[in-house]
Amino acid sequence: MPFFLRRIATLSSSIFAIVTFNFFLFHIIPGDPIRLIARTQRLNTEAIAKLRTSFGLDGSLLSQYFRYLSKLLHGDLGYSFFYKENVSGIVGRALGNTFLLLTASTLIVVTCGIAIGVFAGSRQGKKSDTATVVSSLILWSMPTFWVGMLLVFTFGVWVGGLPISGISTANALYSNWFQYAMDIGQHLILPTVTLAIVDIAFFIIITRTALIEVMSEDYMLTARGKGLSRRTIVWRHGFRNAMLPVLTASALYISALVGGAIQVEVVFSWPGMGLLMYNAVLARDYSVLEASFLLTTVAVLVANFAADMLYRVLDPRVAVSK
Amino acid sequence: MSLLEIRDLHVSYPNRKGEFFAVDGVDLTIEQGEFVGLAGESGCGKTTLALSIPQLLPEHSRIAAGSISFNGVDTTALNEEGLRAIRWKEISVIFQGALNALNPVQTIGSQIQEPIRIHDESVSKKEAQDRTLELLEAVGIPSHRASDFPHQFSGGMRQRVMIAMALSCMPKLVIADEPITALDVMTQAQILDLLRSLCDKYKLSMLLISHDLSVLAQTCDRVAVMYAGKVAEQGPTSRVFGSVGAQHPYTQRLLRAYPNIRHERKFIDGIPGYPPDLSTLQVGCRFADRCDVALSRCATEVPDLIDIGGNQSVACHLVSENQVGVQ
Repeated sequence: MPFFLRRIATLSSSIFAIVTFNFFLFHIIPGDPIRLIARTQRLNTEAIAKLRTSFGLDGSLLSQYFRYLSKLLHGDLGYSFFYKENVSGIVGRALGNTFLLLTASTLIVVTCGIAIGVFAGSRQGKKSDTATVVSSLILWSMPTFWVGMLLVFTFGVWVGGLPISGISTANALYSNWFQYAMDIGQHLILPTVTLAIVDIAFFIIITRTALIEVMSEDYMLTARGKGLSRRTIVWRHGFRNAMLPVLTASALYISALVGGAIQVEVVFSWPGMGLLMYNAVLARDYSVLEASFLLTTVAVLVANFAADMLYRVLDPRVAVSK
Repeated sequence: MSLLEIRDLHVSYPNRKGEFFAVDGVDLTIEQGEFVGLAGESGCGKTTLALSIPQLLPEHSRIAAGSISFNGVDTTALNEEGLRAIRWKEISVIFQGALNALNPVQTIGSQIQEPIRIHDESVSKKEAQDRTLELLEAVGIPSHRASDFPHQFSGGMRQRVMIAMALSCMPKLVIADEPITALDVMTQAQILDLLRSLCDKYKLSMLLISHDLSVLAQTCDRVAVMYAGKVAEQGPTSRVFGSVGAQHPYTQRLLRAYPNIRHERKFIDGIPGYPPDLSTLQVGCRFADRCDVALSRCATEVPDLIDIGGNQSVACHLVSENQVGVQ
């Protein structure tokens, strides 16, 4: 499968370029990180040199770069002076939490968004379609953090009943794993809903537009002429063709998700990558920021790669053209 | 009983002022096993007329009056369920432009096979597959290509796929809407031959739509010429293009617009002017403005389609007056 290998090669070289760019981006920022760490002018040269060595900031920029690459290949993402811990450990925990949140919301967004989009698109111009479009536009124009704050307010102050902060109840003791999972699940509800409620509108509108475009294609008239039922026409002949632009949009959506995750995690104090990045910015925790940037870009690249592969499965025309 | 009897059909589309009639009082009959041609320039209502038979018109269109009796059943009175049972099983369509009429993400085999089991659940998957391969062979496509996608075929081959698809349920009537447009002349001839031979072989009736009179003259038993939503003239091909000749001034001018390769070179004699704008109210004969033999009454009175004998009929005041004179 030479195409597959070619795409893998492109993916790896993109990741390499990102790693390089990421490294130099953080090292050409004006200001000496050691001075920031020390927070004092009265440090003797010996102490400075020691700090430099311990943070890997000694030697020329190029030698630092190669040292960084070799560490990266060993899974070492550096040392956070803020948390006084290896970055890979911090990021590892946060990544798991974010993965849980994003998987839950993306599943809802993609399945419900596409289903509602098909519903609206196949009823173009009818009242149910107009209502769907109007409410989607309203949802899509709401800022994620604001929706989050509304939900926090509603469930934290007015109604109650759902946890509004963190990933699990603080200091809770669980008798079994199921109880623990239920607790996390409850904490997951509001952040997931916040992310989903805004982004679902995006998928509804994209799917609806794509389906409406497909519905006016000649082959849809052929399908009608064959005496197929309306449902068969929409799902068997329209759906797969309409999914092509939706798939492209999904790949873009993954990158937009990072921004949404930061907002939601900050509002709900969800201990994931978003909150980690937010706090790292505030604390000038460069090594954590560097690692977070790297991981998010790699995630976006991999998502695009996956979309690319899936596109070839859905559209036979792409599979043949070399 | 004729296979298809269209009586006084009016089909309208809405526009800003209300609605306009793309098909305005058309009568058309197709006998069992007959190959009927429908000619006319772009926008004269050919496709609207054809698609109204299996009721495949866009949703905003309306059959305002008239009846379409297919095999004794009025299709205008059928509900969606009843129409679905007739579509493809009894009336199939070869659509204009086979590239767009085939679904790009499905293999041609599955697209040909699809209607078979929809309309007859007793057919097994295997039987449907076998019939698909048979049909492909019948239209001249090697059966191993059933698993290929539309984009892997040339224009002529796609049209063959479309023909195989139209025959998958062995319908009584096949409507071919400009099946050879956008194909080169050699391919056109092959496709026409194929259509004719398949119809003869399977005893199908066909309504062949084309703006090319020579195509109709070559393949059809009978032709109808439409102008601005009405039938101007219809009759057996042998009469209209042969012994008796075209009677309606429009048909005559159309025929004169073709270069004759057997005679000396002449400038092609086009018809001056444009077809009338159907969205405005039509009074009198619609061709009157462009007609060089128009009478005074042509501007005010709508001519009826008059039988002039030999199963040929013409909608022209001049012709009917001459008829009266003869009698």
